[in-house]
Amino acid sequence: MSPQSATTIAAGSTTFRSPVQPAAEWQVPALYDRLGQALRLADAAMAAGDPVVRSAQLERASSVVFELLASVDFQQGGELAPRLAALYGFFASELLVVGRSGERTQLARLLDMVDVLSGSWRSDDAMMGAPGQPVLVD
Amino acid sequence: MTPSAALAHAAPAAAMPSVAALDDAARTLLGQLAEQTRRADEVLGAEDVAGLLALLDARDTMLAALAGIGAAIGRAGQPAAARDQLIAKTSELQRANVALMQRVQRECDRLAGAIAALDRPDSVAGAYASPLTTSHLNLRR
Repeated sequence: MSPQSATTIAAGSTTFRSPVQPAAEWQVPALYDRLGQALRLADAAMAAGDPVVRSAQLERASSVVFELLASVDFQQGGELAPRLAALYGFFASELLVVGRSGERTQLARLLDMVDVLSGSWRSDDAMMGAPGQPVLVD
Repeated sequence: MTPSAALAHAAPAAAMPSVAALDDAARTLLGQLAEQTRRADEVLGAEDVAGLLALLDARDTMLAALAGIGAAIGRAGQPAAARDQLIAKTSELQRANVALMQRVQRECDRLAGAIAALDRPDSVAGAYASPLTTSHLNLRR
């Protein structure tokens, strides 16, 4: 793998750089795992009518979103970086709204988007978290 | 009327604001929310992160104010015709929000496609080389 191909790719006529800081890139799939897990637990708490767990999990989800935001490489990340940051900003805002409204449909939409992004980070990197491989733990 | 002023009108107080004042505040807020939603949609397309965050923050404040006004209107009572108009305005705003969410969903899908196409560095080498992490490796798995 050449140094150039490690961070960029020509997709059609457009070349994108990785939007994430190289040192943080390996953490991103684990962060998405934690975000998805927190959102699912918050949803379960909403279904069960447990506001304490719901709030705790939404706060946890917000923390992960800000970690993801901190991983964005605004200097070297090219055109994908501000777009990804805008999306994370939207996630953080929606988490606040869901915390107040308690609407599960809104949370489900958010979870769908997180799952889509999570899958994209794993497309050629299935070894993170696979059995027998080192994994991140809190 | 600013959102904060509208919220002040809507907040529970010793002197309950008139239904007309609440109605005005709700209409003002709904109009502002619709405008902010439209601008958020534009800013998202322009990839202006700071602008989008400011808009979302304003939208969040207004949604909180609107919830306060809704509660106050519920306590104060409201003529049927005026209530119907407010419901229609609220429905309009909900449609605008759905459109915004669809816009965000499409942007998310496009980003996911671009990210999936990136040829990323070796994650294992990165894991052992990273000086930034505060987590530790679980080698027992």
